[in-house]
Amino acid sequence: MIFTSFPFFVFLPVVFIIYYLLPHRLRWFLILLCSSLFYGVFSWQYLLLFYFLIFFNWAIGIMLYSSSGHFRKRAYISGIFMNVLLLVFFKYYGHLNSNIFSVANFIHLHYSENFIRIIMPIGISFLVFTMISYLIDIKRRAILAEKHLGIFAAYSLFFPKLIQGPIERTGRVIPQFREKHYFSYEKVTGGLKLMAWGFFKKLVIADTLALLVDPVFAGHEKICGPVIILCALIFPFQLYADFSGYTDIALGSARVLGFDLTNNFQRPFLASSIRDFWSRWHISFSTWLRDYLFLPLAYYFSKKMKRPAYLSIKTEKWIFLFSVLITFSVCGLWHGNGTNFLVWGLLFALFLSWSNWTLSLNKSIRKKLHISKQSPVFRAYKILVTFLLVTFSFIFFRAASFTDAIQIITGFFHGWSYTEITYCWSFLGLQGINPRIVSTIVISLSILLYTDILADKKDIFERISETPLYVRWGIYYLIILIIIVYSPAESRHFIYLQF
Amino acid sequence: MHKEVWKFICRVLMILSPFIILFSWIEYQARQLPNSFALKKVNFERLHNSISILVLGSSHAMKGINPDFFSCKGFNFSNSSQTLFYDSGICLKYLDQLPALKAVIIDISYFSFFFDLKDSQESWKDYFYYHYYGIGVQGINRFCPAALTYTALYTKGTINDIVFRKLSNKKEFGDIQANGWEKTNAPADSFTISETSGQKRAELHQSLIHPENFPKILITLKKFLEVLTHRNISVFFVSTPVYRTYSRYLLPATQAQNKKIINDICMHYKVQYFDFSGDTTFTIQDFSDNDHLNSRGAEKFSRMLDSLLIAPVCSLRSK
Repeated sequence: MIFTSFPFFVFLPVVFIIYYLLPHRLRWFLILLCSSLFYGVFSWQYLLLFYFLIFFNWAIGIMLYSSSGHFRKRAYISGIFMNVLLLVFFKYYGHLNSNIFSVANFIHLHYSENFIRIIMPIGISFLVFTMISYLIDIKRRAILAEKHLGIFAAYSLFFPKLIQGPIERTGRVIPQFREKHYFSYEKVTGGLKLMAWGFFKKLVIADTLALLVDPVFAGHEKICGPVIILCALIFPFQLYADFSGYTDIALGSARVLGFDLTNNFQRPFLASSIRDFWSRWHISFSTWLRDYLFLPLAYYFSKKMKRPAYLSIKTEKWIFLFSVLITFSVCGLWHGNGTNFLVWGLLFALFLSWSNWTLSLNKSIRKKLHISKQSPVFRAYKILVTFLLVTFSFIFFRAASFTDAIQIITGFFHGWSYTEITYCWSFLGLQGINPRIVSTIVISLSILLYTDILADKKDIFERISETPLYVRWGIYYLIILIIIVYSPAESRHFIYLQF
Repeated sequence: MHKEVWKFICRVLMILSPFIILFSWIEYQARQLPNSFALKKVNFERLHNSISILVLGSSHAMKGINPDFFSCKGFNFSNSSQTLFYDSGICLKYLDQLPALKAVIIDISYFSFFFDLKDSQESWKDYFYYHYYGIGVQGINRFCPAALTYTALYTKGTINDIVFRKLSNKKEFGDIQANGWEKTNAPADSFTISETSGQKRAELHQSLIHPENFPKILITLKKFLEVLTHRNISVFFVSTPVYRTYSRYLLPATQAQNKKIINDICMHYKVQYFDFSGDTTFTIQDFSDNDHLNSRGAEKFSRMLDSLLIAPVCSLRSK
């Protein structure tokens, strides 16, 4: 079930009513049942796979917790191996299958690409990441193994976070299944407001931006440079509105049932460095990478690299470089098996390493130029540079392939004459881009940026709650009305659904 | 806690009530909209006891066959982009309400044997058939808004027009007569009938052809023909006249395939086929565009059909 689909608007109120009517001891069962139904709409076969995965990890968790020595080590390795294998298999099977087909074709061997057709189960990445973090945390003795299989399954399949995260840590969410959730007006209405804001971001902002961005990226050969640049600048906002919209709906629906999940976004386009950007963008994933990949890698390299410096460069800089390179390569490859995703990840690794390696140089330049770190102009400059770097990297993320990304970048420099720009706009007109859509895009982007800037100092919902009653209700009515009137007739799938 | 629950329920109702009222009003208005599906249904239900000839098919039949020129009472139940699946569905649904039915004319267009609405941009029409005639194709989502409400059948533009009362029935939904025929007075001009527009039209129809649909359509058609034969109702397959700016761009291979399919069906069932697609007695003055007849052409064609097929059937049965 997709959050923006009609059945969800029936599903959530029904779950909500039954949830608060049921006694606390049965609520985990309701969540398990509803989450199974929520996922079963996509595929009941994959739901069985998820049940298996959950049972397997639960059993490994118990083994890890109650054993020691070699057996514990073996259980741990087999647990991690199984999760990774399953993820890699489903994520790369399609790619592998087409490669086998090409080779078979080349050597004139009869092999049909449709021989075994497997589609990646929606949400498997997020489930596997949750399971891996669970096993690692038990191994590190950071948490206890969950003994109640039902609660563990309900937590793993919890529908608000099942499809696209946030990737939750067991230690944070499982205790909430044991807490008694009483109906709280503040919490429930807070959740509904967050959901409304999420729907606004997805249906009004992201889907409207997609009306311009999608045809331009799909037919960039026919589009002039200025419009390609404009769409490259708009795409990060589209992705942000799409994914953070999803997260808000997920967090809101969990909050309605009394659960608090991790917020994945903290105004990422106000980040003043790439490091800052990753602490604000897809937070549950970036912290997962930090805790379960980057830090263990850094620890491993620090144990292996004993000398204080290599090639006259401090060892810690090398450690950072190697760890960040591997981490972001994995990050890129997780998003997709194309070279463009690898380059996307590596670009971030490069930016992060560059800023790490030039830290003292930057400091001395700033000192020489007498630029204060607190200066608003300097901060604005840093925000702008960060945004441009992020935008550039996201071209590789959005493009269909690496070659496509290069063509898009070279396309920046073509079609700058007046006639070409006029032709380009008329082409976009044929794709359905009209002044109404352009004005909606401008207004949407302004709202998104303005609310982010406002929320940087104080939460936007807190601000609204402080306004007089008629203003507050006016805003609520307006948001619902805009969602109804301005959202495109057909909602697009959430971008991160494919990962 | 009870106080909080009541407060919540009251607030939710307060927030939602204006939207519920607005939606209910729009839904009511949407149900009253006189689209071609609703009009045909209403007119059919008024006339069903006296109908002897039923015309089915796509817009070619809808605009090209006027039952007023038939020797006995006829009704045109064809509709724009109506597939053979829906031709069969509509006829079978109402067959018991047609005591006087003697013959069924089924329009066979270039794409008819391979066309399913799901493959076209008009797939939304599936929901109109579902709402107005209770016919649902396999794969229709019965839980989507379009299946549950009439409001969701229409585009946002139409809903806006409903809200601001900007709809003009005739302009928006065609000039459908009481006998189901759609009157098109538009005279042909160099824009509506030209080599370019004819070629584009032929290409569009070519794009509607999906060979994988054929087995399913054939099964539906055979079942339909069996029922009609069993009830002793005559069946005529008819291809309406089209202008040469359209027909010359149709693929000969597909046309040959169509002929073969029709011949096979005619051999196995008591069906007669009449192909007027290349009839040169129809001039440019008879067309409203490259492949549709206008009122004048429809009169000419309907009289032709009457003398050739309808009149003998009417006279034979009345004897």
